[in-house]
Amino acid sequence: MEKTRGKRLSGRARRRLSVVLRYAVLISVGVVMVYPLLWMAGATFKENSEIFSGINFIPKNPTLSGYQNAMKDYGGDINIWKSMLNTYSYVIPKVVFTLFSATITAYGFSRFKFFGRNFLFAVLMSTLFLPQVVLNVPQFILFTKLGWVDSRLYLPLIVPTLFATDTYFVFMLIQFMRNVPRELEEAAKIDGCNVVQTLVKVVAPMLMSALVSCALFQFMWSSNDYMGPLLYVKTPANYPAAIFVKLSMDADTGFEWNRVLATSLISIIPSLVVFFLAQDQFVDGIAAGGVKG
Amino acid sequence: MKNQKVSFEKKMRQNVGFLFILPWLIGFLIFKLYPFASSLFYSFTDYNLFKGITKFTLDNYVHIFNTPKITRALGVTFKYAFMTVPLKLVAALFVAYILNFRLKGVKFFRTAYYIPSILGGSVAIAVLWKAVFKDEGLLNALLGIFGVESINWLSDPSLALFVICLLRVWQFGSAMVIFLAALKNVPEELYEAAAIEGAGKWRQFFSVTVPLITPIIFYNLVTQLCQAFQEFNGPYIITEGGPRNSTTLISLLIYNSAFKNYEMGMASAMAWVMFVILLVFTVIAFMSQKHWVYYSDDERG
Amino acid sequence: MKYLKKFAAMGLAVVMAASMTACGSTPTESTGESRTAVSEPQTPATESTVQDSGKDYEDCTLTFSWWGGESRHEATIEAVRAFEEKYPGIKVENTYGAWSGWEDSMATMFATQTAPDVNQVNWNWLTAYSADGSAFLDLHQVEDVLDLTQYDEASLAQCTVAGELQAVPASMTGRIFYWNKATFDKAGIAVPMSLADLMDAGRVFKEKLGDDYYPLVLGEYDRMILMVYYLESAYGKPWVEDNQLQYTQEEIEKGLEFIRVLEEAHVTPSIKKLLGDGADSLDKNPKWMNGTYAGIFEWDSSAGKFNSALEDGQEFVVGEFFQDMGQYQGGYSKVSLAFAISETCQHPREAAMLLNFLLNEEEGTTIMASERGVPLSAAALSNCQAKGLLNETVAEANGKVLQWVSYPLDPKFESAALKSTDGVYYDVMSGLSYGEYDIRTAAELLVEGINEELAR
Repeated sequence: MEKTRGKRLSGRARRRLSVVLRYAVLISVGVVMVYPLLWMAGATFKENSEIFSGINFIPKNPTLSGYQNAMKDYGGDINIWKSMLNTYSYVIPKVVFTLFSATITAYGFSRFKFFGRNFLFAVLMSTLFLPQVVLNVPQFILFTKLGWVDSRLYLPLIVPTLFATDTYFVFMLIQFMRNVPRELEEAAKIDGCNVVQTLVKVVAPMLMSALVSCALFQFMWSSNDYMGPLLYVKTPANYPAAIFVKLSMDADTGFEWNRVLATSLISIIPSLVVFFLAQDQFVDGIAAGGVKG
Repeated sequence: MKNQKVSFEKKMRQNVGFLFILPWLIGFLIFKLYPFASSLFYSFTDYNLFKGITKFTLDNYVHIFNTPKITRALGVTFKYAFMTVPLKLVAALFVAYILNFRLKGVKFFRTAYYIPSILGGSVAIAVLWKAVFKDEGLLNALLGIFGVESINWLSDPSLALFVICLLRVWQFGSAMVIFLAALKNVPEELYEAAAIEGAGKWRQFFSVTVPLITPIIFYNLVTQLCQAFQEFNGPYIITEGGPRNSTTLISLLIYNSAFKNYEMGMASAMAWVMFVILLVFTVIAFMSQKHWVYYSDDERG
Repeated sequence: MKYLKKFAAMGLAVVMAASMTACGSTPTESTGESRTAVSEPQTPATESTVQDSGKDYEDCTLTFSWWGGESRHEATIEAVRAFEEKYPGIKVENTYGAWSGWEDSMATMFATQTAPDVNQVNWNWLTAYSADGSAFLDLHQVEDVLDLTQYDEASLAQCTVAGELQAVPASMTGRIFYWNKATFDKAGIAVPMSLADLMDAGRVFKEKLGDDYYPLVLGEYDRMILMVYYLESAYGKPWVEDNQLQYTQEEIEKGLEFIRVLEEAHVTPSIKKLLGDGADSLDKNPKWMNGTYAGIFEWDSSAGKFNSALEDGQEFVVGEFFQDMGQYQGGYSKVSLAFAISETCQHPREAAMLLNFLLNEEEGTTIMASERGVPLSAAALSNCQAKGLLNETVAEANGKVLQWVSYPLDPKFESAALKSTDGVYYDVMSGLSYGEYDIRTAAELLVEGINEELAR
C-alpha cells in the first residue's frame, strides 16, 4: 500500500478523499436500502391510523399493542413462535438437501461427458422458464395422489429438494465450477483420489462461497414462500410463519397493521441474522477452503 | 488391449457422470415432467379447471396473437425485462465491487444492502414505494427544491413501468451476493500484477475483474432475465397493472387467467408462448458465450 | 310484508326446533346399535340423556375451512368447540387463513376433489366451480337438520345454481354512501340527501375548500357499480337477466355520461389523481383519513373498516340513497358470504348439523355474532339483536341497503374477466377518465366485453 513515493502529500489527501467518497456513497445508498426496514420497525409501534399517514418512521404515540397482539394464540393451535419453529423444521432440511443434490448434479454436468449430456442440460435449463402458476395444479394432483398433502413432515415441500429440482442452484454451481481450474482435480487424481473424494476434498472447498450463497438463498426464499405452504399445509398447528403472518388479515373488515407488521418483523429476524453471520464466508471465500494458489 | 482399456475407462467416466446427475433426472421425471407435459397438453385444449376439457384446439394460441391486451402485455414484459436486467446487474456489480474492498464497517453495509431482498414483496415495501413516488411524495418534494414541477410517477402510463423497474433494481441484493462470491474467487495476485503494471482501480476492474467473473455475469444475466420475464410481485403490489395497463406484464394475465378465470388451457398457452420466447433468448445467450465468457476449465485451453 | 314473512319464518323455526328436540329424545331405530360401540366408553351418566340415548347422528370427523381475520378465526374456532361439545363423537378439523391466496388454494382443491367437507365460500364460486352442481351438495337433501326456513326465498335463490341449492348464505351486502360529516360541516353544507345535493357539494367544495377537496371518491369498480345503481334507478330493470344484458348502447352511454359529469363537476377526482395518491385502497388513502375526500360508495360490510381509518376529529355517517337518481329504487344486494358442503363429503348430515349450529342455533350464532356480516338467518338476527351483538354502524348500513335495493345481481357481474384489474370495467372506466375513450367507444367496449362473458 505504501508505494506512493514522489507526491506523498497529495497522494495521502487523494486517498483520504477517496475513502470519504466511498463512505459517502455507501452510507447514502445504505439509507435508501435500510429505510423500509426502519419504517417497518417504527410502524410496529404506531397506532393503526398513523401507519399510512406518512413516511416518517418515528411513532407519534408509541404503543406496544402491535406486539401484544402478535403474541396471540389461535385456539392454542398456533402462535408466532410455533409457526417459526414449523418454518425452520422444513427450511433446514430443504437447505441441506439442496446443497447436496445441487452440488452432485452440478458436478456431473460440468465435469463429465456422457451420452445425452447436452440434451439433458437443455432440459435442466428449460425447467427454469415455465411460470410456477401453471404448474401448481398438476403438481397438486401429483402430491394428492402420493398422499402427501398436509403431511406433518412437509413432504411436498422437502422431498423434491432431494432431487435437485431447484434448477437455479444447480445452474449457479455449474457456473462457479467452470471457473475452478481443472488442474487441481488432475493433481488430486494423480494423488489417488477417486471422483467422490475429488468432489469433497478439492471442488467443494473451492466452491465454499458459492455454496454459502446457495444455502442463504434457499433459506430465505423457503422461509418467505407463501403459496407452497398454503397449498400443502392444511392443519393450522403446522402453519409456517409466512402463513401465520397473514392469519390476522381480513380484507373485508380491515385489519391491524401494526400487528401484521410486528409479526412480519419478528419473522424476518432469523433471515437477517443468518445473512449477517453467513456473509463472513463471502469475505473469506477461497481462503477458508485453504486451497489458494 | 490398450484401446479396450481406454474405451472402458471412457465408458466408466461416462457412467460416473450419469450417476452424478441421476438423482436430478429421477426428480425431474417424477416432479417436473408430469406438470410440464400437462401444461403443454392443456395449452392445446379449452381446459377449464371446473368444466374440464371439451375439445382440442389451437384457439388459445390464435387468441393470444389476436388479442391486443395480450400482445401488448408481451410488449410491456419485454420493455420491462430489458430495462430492469441491465440496470440491476450494473448496480449489483458496482456495489459488490465497492463492498469487496477492505473497508471498516463493510459487514454492516453488506447486510444493509441485502435487506430489500429479504423484505421481498412485503406490505411495508408497497406502502413506502408508493409514498416515495406518489404525487405529493418524497421524490416530487425533492424535485420541488430544485424547481422541478411535480411528476405523476404512478399515474402517468409512460412512467409507471419505470417505477416498477426501479423496485426490482433496488432489490439487487441476491445478484450482489453472487457477484461478491465470484469476486472473492479472483486471486489477489492478479490485482497486484495489474497494479505493478500501473493500472488504476477502474482499469483493474475492467481488465482483470470483469473478464474473470464472466461466467457469473452470464449466470446472473440468464437468471435475472428469467426472473424479469416472470415478474409478478412488483406490478401486483404497486400498480396492479395500471395505469391504463401500462404495467400489465404477461405473468399477471397468466395468473388471472389461471386462478381468477380458471382457464387453465389459456393460461398454459400464454405460459408456453413466454417459455418459448425465453428459450430463444437463452439459446442466443448460450451461443454468445464463446465470444465473451471465459471459463478456466475450458478444455480448449 | 317483509316483517310478516320473518314472523312466519320464526314461527316455523320454533316449530322445527321443537320437533327436532322431540325427534332427538325419542330413540330412532337405526341409530342406537350401530354407533354406541364406537363412542368412547366414558361415563355415560355424566352426559345428558338426550344425547346418549337418542344420538341421531354418526360419529365422524368433519373438515371445515374458512378465511378471514383474527376475530373471525377466534369466534369460529370457539363456535366449533361448542358444537363438538354439544355433539360428542363428531370431531371437526379446522383449516383457516387470510384471503390472500386462499381462492387459489381452494380452487385447486375443488378441482381435484380434495376440498374440506364444509366450506365458507364466495358467492361467485357457486357458478365458477359448480355450474353443473358437481362441486357442492344440494342442501335441500339435508333440510331436515339444516333449517332453511330462516332465510327468505330471494337470498336462497341467489345460491341456487343448476337447480340445486348449493350454499346457504351467511349475509347479504350492497353498496351505500358513507360521508365524512366533518368535511361537509367545514364547507358549511349538510351531507347530501340527493343527487342534486351531491352535485352542489362538488361546486361548494371547490369554491370553499379548494381543488383538493371532493365530496365523493370513486375507484374504477366503484364507478361501475354506481353506474349500475344509477341506470337501474332510471330505467327500472336489472342490469343482466336470464344471461342477457338488459341495457342498450344508448342507455349505457347515459350511464357513462353520468359518471363523466361527476368528474367534470368536481364531485369525484379523476382516476389519474386517485392513482397519484399512491394508496392501495381507499381506506388506506390519507385523503380519506383526513377528510379531503369526504365520501365513498362502499359495501355495507366494510363500514367498520372505513370508519376506523378516519383520523380523530372526523365524523363518519351512513348516507341515504338518492331518491332523485330516477323513479325506481335501483341497486342490488348480493350474497357476501355463504357456506357450502362439498359433494365429496362422507357425512353430509353431520356437516349440515354443523352449519345449522353455526348459522341458526342460539348457542352458535351468539358466538359467531356478526363476524360474517349482519346475519341473514332470521333466528340468528333476532338472537344477535336481542343480545346487542351487532356493530351499530354496520347494522344501520346493512338495514338501509336491504330496505332500498330491489334487484338481484347476476353472478357473472363479478366474474374475473370483467372485474379484475385487467378486465373490461377497469379498462372502460379508466379509459374514460384518462380521456382515451369517448362515451360511445367506452359503451361499445363495455357491451362487447359483457356479452362475451355472458356467452361463455
